[in-house]
Amino acid sequence: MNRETADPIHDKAGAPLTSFVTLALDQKSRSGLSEILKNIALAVDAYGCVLWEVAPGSDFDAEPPRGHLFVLDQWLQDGRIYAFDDLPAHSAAGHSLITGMTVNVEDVNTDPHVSKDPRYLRRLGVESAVVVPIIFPDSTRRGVIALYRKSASPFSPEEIATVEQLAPLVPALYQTIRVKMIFSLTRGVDEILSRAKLLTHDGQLTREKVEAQVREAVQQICDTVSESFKCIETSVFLEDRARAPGTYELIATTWPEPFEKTVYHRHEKSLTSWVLTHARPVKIFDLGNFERDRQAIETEYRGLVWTDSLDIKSSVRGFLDLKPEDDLPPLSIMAAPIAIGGKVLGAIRCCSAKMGPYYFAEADLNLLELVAAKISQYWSDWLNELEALEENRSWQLFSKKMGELNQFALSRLSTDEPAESDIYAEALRVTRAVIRGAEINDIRMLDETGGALGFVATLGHAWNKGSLKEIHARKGLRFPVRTPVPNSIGASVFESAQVYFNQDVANHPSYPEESTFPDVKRMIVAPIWVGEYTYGVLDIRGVGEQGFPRSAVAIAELLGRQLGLYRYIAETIKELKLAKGELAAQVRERIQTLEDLAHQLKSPINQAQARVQQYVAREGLNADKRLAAIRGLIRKTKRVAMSTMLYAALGGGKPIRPKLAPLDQDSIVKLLIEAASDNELMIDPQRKVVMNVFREGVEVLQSNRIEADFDMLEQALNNILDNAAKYSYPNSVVEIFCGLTTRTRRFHISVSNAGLPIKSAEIQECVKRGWRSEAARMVTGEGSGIGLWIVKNIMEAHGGELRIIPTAASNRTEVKLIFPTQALR
Amino acid sequence: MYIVLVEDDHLQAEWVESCLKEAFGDLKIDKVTTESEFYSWLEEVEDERPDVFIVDVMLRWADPGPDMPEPPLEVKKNGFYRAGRRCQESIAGNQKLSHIPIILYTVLEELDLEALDDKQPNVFYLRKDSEPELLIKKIRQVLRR
Repeated sequence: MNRETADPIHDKAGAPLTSFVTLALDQKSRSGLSEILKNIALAVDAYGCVLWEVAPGSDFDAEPPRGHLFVLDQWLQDGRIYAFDDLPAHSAAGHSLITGMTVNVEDVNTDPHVSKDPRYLRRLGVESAVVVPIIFPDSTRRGVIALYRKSASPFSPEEIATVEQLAPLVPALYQTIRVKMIFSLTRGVDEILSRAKLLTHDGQLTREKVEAQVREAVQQICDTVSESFKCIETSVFLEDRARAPGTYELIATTWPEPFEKTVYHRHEKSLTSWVLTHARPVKIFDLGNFERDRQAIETEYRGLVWTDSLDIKSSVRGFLDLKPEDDLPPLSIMAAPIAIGGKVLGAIRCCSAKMGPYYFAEADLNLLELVAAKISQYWSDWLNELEALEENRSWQLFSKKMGELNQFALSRLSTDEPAESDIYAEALRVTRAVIRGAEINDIRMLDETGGALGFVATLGHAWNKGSLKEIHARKGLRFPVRTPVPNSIGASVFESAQVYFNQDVANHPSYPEESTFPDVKRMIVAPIWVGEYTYGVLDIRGVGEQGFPRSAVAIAELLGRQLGLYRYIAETIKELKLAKGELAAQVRERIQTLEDLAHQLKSPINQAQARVQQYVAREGLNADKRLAAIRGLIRKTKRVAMSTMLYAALGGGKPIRPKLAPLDQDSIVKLLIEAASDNELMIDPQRKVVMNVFREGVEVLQSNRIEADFDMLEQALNNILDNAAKYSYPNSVVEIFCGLTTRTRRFHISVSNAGLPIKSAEIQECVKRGWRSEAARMVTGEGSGIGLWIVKNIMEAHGGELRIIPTAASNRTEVKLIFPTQALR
Repeated sequence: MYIVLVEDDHLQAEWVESCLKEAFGDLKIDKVTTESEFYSWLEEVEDERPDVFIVDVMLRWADPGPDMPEPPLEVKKNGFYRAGRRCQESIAGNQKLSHIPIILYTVLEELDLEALDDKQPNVFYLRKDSEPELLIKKIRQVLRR
């Protein structure tokens, strides 16, 4: 061997140790340990140098010692990777470790410390060895450094001294290399992320380009991690919670071939899924011995399952270009959750070191967790930014669509028959446009019974699946509301006026399995309301992998409010139209009343004038009758004039103020007779309706004091007789009589006739202004239904009463004017 | 002369009849007192055609009685206020009578009535008045046309 190049320790005159340490400290990656071992081997002209470590679970201080040592790292002169056998406690290495002394094996075939079956040494062809114990800085790990020589010449005392000088330095130097690696890796990751963040914030880039940058950054991190750990695989799986919540997709990897499994979910049977589910890191010593170590793994990681979906042994053998006779290095794996604030965003996984040390140490896992933390912060920031970006776009779109919806609603509400169903259908189209993933939508409104919600609009293919009968049944469902306990989600939202949001329906007990749409994955139900009125609900459901955007709930709530407003406006318009109609009817009624009053005034005046002329022209011809007619016509004119006055006063809200004076028998008798005569004259003689006055009852005025406004009394009586004249059947008698009421002993003037009936149910109605029964409207060519209304007001102004006794079996109707009466002593 | 007088006020009808008889001497006059009675008259009209119709506008459907004829929907809805106009339209719709002049004789102002259109050149308006001469003059005027 050329010692000029092979022995830096002795060739660098004066500073052998310094040279060794300097070389060691130049190492940046974890595999720098191999370089240190190499230099020790070269220093003593050895074939190989191996760092053995006590395997976890071993106890070499026990009696007898148990456990074994494994190869943490090694350097062999021919550069081959093989021989990863364990060493038992009863071996030269074990003896050195237990005694804490250097063991010099001059001949492996005869040395008593060598194990009985030195398989490892034989495979390497080792003839002699020297073993030096070492202690790792954390003092929990112990090991030895063994130097092997294939030739029969044992290590000289000087060489042994050199090894004893250098070996104890290895753990400290290795530790230093690790610290450098930590700094190097974390700085590298930080630089990648800093660059990526600058790019992410470039406002000129499209969302797709920024997303590609993010993935590229994660890929660079994977490359950096793989380089530091010298591992074949570093993979990162992350969840895009907005697009596919619960799905952890492969974002980047250094594994040289395509993965069969690129997507993970929680609760699956896999190592990565275990990390995602438990939010705990995992480190497996050697996947190649997974079955052997299953019990220990199960103890440490309860429920962890690993299946070799990649045929990893063959793959690694290929990647490392191993010859058939080469041993497969240990397939150590470690994975850490990428989490922030207790929320698992993904996982990072490292597997299979390309060179020693082949096992991932606890410190390696700690470092991986540090990298995971940096990724989690970056990914979380990116997702937040992405969501903010999408939310911003979503709100912009919402704002635009709401403007369009308002225009549409305005156009529909402006019509004579506001088409609310069109508005609901359009609102669902807006919902689908602004809420990504809104696939099955509907609006349910309170139905005409007021006790259930029914569909008024639906949108989405799912609604129209199946036969017409099935579609009809689906859309015809009703959901009772205002029950003691709400029995549907819609009813609950309707009652509470609170939005319901469920991003994971499958795992939520409130979503019934027998629902119309069992495939639904998420849903929002927003109340349709305004003020204190709740009209219905807006239901939005998604079935795909993509989740609703963060703004979905707020948008649904606003849409619900807007729909509530439309409904409120529609109802208000309806009520206004109704009121307008009523107002128009009132105006029409008043116009007709005035027209009728004018008619009633003009007709008798015309006729009175005509009769006066006739009287003058044909004096002596039935003069009494003509004069009576003239008097009747003039009285009618007076009555109509008074009706007009009272109509105007009462219509304007002015009270009637009767001028009270005591009634005497003579004036009452005269009033009754003349009123009867006047009104009888107005009746077509062919109808043969007679008016009879029964004057006997007037005598009660002798013993009772009654006060009344005589003009108003005359008005009231004539109004009643006018009705009797108009509505009496042919060949009937109208009876006019007076007296005291039986029970309260009040003075009354009554008119009884046989004619159009008044039913009991009509008694309250017939004294209202403008009321006339349908039959009554058919038998008169004048009058507008204000007669009884005026009479009622006159009687009430007297402190009296208008009493109408409905038509009895005798077919007679009786109307009474009842006055307050004071009995005279 | 043959006149059909549609007037539900018997005093008015009696007066008009007496005035017309005095003015036209040999006069046949059919007095119709309700809208339903007028439709019955229309159904039973014989070959002899009236020379003129004198029609009140505000007119009752029927006289009260236990067996009143059922009014059509339009009458139920609109009442008596324009019954005379409905009678006028019935005359216009009757081929035999549509050419006969109609005098709407009413206390209503002409402005209160819905406009009399050009398609009914034989319909005339006259406001009721205590002077019979105006009616007589109007009858002569429309008959000369």
